[in-house]
Amino acid sequence: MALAIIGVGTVCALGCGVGALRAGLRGEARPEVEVHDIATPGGVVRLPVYMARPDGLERFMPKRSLRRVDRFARMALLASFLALEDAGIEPADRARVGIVFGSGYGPLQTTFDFQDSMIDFGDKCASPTHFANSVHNAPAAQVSMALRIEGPCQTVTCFEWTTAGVLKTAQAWLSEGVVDYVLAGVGEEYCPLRGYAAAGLGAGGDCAIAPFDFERCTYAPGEGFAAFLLRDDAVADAQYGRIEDVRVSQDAALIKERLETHQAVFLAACGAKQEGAAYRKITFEGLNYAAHAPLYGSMPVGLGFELAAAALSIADRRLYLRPSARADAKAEGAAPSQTLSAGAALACVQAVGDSGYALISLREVGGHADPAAMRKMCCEGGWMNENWNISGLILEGICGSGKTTILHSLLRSERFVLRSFPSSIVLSEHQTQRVLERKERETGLTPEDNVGLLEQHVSYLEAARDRLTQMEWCENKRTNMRVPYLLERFHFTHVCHYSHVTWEHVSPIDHRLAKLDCKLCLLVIPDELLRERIITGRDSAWHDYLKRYGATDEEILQYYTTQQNILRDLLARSELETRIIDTGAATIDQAMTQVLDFWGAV
Amino acid sequence: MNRAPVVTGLGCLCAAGNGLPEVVRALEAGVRRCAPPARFTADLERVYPVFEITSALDESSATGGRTRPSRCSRLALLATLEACREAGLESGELRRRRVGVCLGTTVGCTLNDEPFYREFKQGAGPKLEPIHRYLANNPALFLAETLGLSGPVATLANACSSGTDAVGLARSWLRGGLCELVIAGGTDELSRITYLGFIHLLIAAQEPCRPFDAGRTGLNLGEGAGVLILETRESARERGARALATVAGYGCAADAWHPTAPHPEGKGLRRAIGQALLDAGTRADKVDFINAHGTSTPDNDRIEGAALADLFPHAPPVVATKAFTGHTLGAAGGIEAVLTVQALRDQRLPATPGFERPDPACRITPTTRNIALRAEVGLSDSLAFGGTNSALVLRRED
Repeated sequence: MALAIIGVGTVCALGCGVGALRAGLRGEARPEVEVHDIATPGGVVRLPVYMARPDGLERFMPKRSLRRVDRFARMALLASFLALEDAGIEPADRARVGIVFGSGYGPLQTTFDFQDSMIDFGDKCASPTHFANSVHNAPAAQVSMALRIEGPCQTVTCFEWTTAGVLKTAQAWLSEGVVDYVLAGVGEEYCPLRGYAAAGLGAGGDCAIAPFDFERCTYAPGEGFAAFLLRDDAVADAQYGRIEDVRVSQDAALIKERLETHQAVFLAACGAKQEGAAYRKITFEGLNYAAHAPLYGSMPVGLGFELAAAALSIADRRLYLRPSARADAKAEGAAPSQTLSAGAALACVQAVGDSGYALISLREVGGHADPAAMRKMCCEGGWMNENWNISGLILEGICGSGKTTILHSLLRSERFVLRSFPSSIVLSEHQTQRVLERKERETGLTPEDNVGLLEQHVSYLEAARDRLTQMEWCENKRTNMRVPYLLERFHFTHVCHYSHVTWEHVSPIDHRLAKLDCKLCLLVIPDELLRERIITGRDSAWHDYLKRYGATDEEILQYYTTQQNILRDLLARSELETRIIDTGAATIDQAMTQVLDFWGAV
Repeated sequence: MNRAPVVTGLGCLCAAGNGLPEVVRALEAGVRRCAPPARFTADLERVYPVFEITSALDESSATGGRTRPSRCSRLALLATLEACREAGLESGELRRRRVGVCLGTTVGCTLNDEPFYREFKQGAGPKLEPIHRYLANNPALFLAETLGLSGPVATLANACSSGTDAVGLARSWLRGGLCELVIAGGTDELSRITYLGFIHLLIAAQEPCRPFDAGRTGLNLGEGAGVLILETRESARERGARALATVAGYGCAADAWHPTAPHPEGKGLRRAIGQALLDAGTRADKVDFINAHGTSTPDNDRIEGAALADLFPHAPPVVATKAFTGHTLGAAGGIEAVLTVQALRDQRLPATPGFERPDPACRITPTTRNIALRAEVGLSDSLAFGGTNSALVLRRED
């Protein structure tokens, strides 16, 4: 079955989006290439590295939600958002969208970040966050979460075979009717060890990548991500062409024969000397060959970037031969582009293993972008920015830390009162915790009682968020129209205050809050002020209340010290962006300003 | 025409046994080999036991290419050779036919040579042998090269559902006519890095795991490989190979929820199972038993158990074979598919060791003794980091 490419998103050393890639293909932009000095046993090697810059993700996702997302996943996220935006499509049923990503090496930097945590801090302090992000399917998972794609989600990792494997998987899902759309993508990440390995294997020096020089190693590591939104060709308008064939073969003669039917061949030749022999077998006179690795760098999934270049050639009806065409066919740089014939086919080829080839055949089929659809940006359709409609803050802290005082002060502050959009949701501790007191006294509480109360509140916030998401309003006003919500004491208090409630009980609540753009402020009392804030500065009724926590002042202070420490410990377990504010070191107004600045929503 | 591929060979290595017959005997006898790791140590205050293969691996056939095969690749190769023997496939036939290979893994695709990285970090200029070894040991590529295969090749890295997904993708290849036969399954080796990773995620147990038990405290990592020979019915008929089962259905769905935790209501899992049943053209009430993911972590078992209880109200027997194998990550789906086919073949299901006290939150009770089955259809499901959920429906062949 043929696949229609209906959207393309790229992140590489040229920049982000098809516009940046197009500028590179037209010779209007150059990639940003850093030169790294790599120390090897043979001396320092100067290695050009094509570093991608995944800038602009904040346009699609709140910055805060990217806090625990590593660089590789950011590249995947940005390329995915760009591909969807480029397609201008909003699939109605996200369970009918699949994700298949691929990478030769996976999230290398995070893999080594985890090992760094083991080596630098010892086995006892290895980082679980780095470990969780180091699995190869972490980028696909991040994209599925960000875009709420609920169809199949898979990751292929097979070095140079990867891109073909990704497309084959997409083809299988679409042909079997498992999904209506597939978001397919491939990418690689640079890290210092990859540079060391490349230098050790012969890369480096002052030369640029020379894809058609099969005698020298001109490899220069690249990184980036190329994403494609694919559909069954029978039902889609393939503005970027139709993938008619994806195959891997050891048979050079067969591949060569197939290439003859194409107007041009885009080779993912990347300057690695060992691949030269394979490419030499399939290049011949009379056919246009181009290789674009000098624009995006050398990487095992270069075939994906060649596919992006071919897709742009088809969309633009221009055969992009920059920056490197085969010398004996066209003088390098002499023919930056040619007109692409209607119905022409382009082949993308990569050498795989010792003597194999991956081939993708892409044909121009007269597809065109629907201007109306192109205007329908994904962010208007609810693909993204869901959190921009609502933004919350939880105030936590032990008794006397200043929660209620700061909450009152905050609600009266100019910044809160004079907002142009007056809706807000405020729940004091009476709603978030103390409403359980009677039941606690009469029958005792179970974890379900505590979690049930928290869930009711979170469900309401989610419903409010969803209603706001469904409103039809202009994109440019959206960030000014966030509904703020304030919660005095929430899930931290339930873990800290009730011995029957554990973090495991409330961690789903914490996760849901993270998806509601929630931050958490822990107000703390310094040890030297504990006695004054909790005991000497309070009235007799309060003293009676305190007796449940200890017979003596020292016991009571010990109880609250422990409570405060538990709250501090919980910060490390939460997914929320958190801040500790010492209310002993600031006036109420100063503390409130710190809280508002941290929150940033009003 | 019935386009569901058939299974004609099984191979399995894990802590329970070096080869499928040994594994089956261990399951039948309730033998668990869960002990502190023998091949590495960790500077921790507590020991977390694992299911490790302690017997020596057969090196004779695991020569591979120019570089010494990794443990992961050797496990894959040994399980493949066992499966090929049962399927009546010799190396010449593998080379003559269009044979694909689709394997799941996690450790097998990760550049995690710790001594090498330590030297690099210290600026000691380590030799690149570990890089060459890494590049030569992508499990599916290693098998394709070693066995001289000419069909499609893919290594899937979907964390703990990789093996199940590999069987599912292999099924698609066969149905799509990409090849006539596929070596499918999963392989993974124990590694100090994953060991520490799971411990710090606070989901590893300090005791042998207890799937679905009220007192379960976490998983034990394991290692091994599970491989199935899948082929078109025509190919099997032409070769005179006996069909052991059909891969009747496959489903996969994402939670789109959390990097490491399953959706609280098992949303993706329910959809994956639903798709697999639909794909198989059958109904939930036709499923005769389930080989559950059953990691023994509090979250997984609660969510999986509740989903299975809702989806299968007729309460078919549920077994969690990770109680014998440990959690073998990328291999788990392959091993569990092998054991599901074996259960269909033997019409027997083992008890789930470690289970003593039902957890009301799980809402299911796994097998508490070895039982005889009258089963036509078995289901094997997997949940993974990243929110991937997958399920296979396997049907007995007479």
